[in-house]
Amino acid sequence: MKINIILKVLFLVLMYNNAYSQPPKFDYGLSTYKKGNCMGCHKWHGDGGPGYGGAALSLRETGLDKEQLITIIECGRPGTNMPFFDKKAYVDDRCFGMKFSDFEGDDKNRPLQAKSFLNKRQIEAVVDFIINDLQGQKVSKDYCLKFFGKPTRSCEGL
Amino acid sequence: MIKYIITTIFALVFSFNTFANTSWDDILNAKKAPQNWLTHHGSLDGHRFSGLDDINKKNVKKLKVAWTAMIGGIEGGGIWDHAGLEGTPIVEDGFMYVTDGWGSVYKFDATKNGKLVWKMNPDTDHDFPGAVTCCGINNRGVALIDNKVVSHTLDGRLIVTNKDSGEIEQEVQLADASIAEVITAAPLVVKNSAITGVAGAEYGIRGWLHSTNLADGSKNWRTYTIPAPDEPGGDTWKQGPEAHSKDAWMHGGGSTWVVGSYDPDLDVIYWGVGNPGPDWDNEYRPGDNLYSNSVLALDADSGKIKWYFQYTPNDPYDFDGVNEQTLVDAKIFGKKTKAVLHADRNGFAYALDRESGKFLWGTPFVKKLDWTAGLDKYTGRPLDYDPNKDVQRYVPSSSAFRAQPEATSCPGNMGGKNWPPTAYDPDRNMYYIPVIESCAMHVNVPQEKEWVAREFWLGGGPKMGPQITGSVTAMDVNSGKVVAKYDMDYPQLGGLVATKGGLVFSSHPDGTIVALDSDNLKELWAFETNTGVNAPPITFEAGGKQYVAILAGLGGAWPKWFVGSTPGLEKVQPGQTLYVFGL
Repeated sequence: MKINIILKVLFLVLMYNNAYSQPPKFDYGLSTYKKGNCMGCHKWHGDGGPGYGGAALSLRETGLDKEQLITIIECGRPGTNMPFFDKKAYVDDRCFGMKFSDFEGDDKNRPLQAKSFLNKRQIEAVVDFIINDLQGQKVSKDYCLKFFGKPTRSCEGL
Repeated sequence: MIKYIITTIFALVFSFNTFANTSWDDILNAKKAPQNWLTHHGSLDGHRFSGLDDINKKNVKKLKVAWTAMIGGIEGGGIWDHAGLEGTPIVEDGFMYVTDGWGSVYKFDATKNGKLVWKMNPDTDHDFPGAVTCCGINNRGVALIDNKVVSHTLDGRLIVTNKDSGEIEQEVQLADASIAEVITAAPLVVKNSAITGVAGAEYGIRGWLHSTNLADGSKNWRTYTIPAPDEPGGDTWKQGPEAHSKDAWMHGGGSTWVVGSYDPDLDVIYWGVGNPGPDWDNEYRPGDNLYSNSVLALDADSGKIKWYFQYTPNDPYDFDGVNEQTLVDAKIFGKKTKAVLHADRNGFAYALDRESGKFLWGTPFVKKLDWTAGLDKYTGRPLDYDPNKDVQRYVPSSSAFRAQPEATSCPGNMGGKNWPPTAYDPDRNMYYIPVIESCAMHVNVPQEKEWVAREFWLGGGPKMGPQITGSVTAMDVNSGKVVAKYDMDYPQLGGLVATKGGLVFSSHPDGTIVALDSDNLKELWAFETNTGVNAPPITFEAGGKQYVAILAGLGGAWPKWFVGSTPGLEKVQPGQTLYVFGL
């Protein structure tokens, strides 16, 4: 009887530890990755590839450093579907020394505005997320669970 | 006293109808009961025309909000941060049935200012299908039959709900999200069966139409829209440069995500079929790629294909041919004809003989169309189609291919016209089209990688080009000529309804709902919702009074992929409101 009770208590303690040992951690960078619709093209897994947003580069295979990533997010990549997230981009000459007026009549290369702008703090957070969770890493079950915030069939088989 | 008797009789009849089942005869004769909006397009012929005229050109200026209701299901899932509202409300005897993006069904009592009678939540899996739906979290509505409300869920189920209680009576799993099949279309009820279309061509599904026996949930038939190699049309999928392209047909796309129409006299279902996959690499799949970008005429009982007509063979543009089919008995070139109309993403509107599939006319409804010089007046084939080639270039500067990986076409890949439905006014013999006036760039990326379940199967992608605008365009069905345009700053992304009151109701994607004059498309009334409008309006009568209803809530593919070509639309916020207007 006593052993039975001890076992039950032990089981409950283990269950509790299992459930709460790794509470979901809020990641401002991931949250910004979603808010900025980065996943629309680079996908939830960050590996990019073809899509309705165009052929996006893999953030897992990118060789860009922190400063370069910040520049690309702030300014976008004119001539591609990568939009700019800095509110002042191309209003003044902070991006590649160019302004909107430099693209007049050039529909092919005009910079595209993001669905929502990101501020400096948000851009740095999303860059940290790319460097810490994506760059140089393979898609893992832990990452999948972190992205979706809960178990989902999308994470099965990883 | 007489007024009292009439009111009592009306109340009795109304109260009797409240508990009446929806018979197949009711559906066949939907136009004779214009107080209802009984099927997705109002009637099985797809007209989206109402015989109600209490709201008309003379008084529409007085139209105001009668009641509103908040719809739930706006939360995101998968790769989407919010769901949209694209549904068409169904109305029967004063009760309205509406869906949200995740497939919950709401029954409102329109005689009691929209009091909620019940809500059915099918507990749709959010993340698994939400990670592979190409173009938003959407559900376009329900169908009624007997005492059943028939609906779909994004995770691939057909749901039968008791009309009175809101309890689920039956669930049938039809689509498989593990290979990226999802369902967004409303079902089409034909006799005692529900016809289901599927989405997922952008992930390399093999499209199908499925008929379910509503008595027991069993399969009547499933017809694949992409034939196997030993079936008729199978030889239109040839091997490309990659060895794995010998099985291109298995991932050939051909989705069926917009509900079709039905002709009871011929017992034929007409249903549009979507683009081939991979979308932007037609060198991967030499041949015409039947039955992608086609209309299929199918025997309703067997699902057998009676005839087909293909709009854009071996498509390199993502000119998805899935848009609705409108069945008209109308004068065409002065002769009474049983025809089927269709406004395609490729920018042409078509009239075909619906008994034979014979081409009657095809006319551009967009301002700019440059991917082909026109249509052959006898066959309806694009003039730049080359029957001696397996891989089509059309006007070469307009299509991206391996030796020329970027090109711009007008219209662009979103059309022309997308899923938002047309309306047909039989009194005026006029076809009203919600138009995306666009050009867009195409990028070819050779499909060297083999198909992987739940990975995009595109062979490239679109690239934002010049600014995209829109219009509502009126076309005379007799001649196939454009007779009027209502210009818009943004594309028309919601659809239309035409009424006997001489009105066409329409919307702007940044939130304005408008009433246009059916004769000249002049704007007669406008209302600002201040949210996105991506759903079609309808009109109905409750308690003897005519109303106009529309869902307002930002949805679809546009907010995620295409705002770069419509500056200003990025400011539009998601919403979740059902608006009902009355005089």
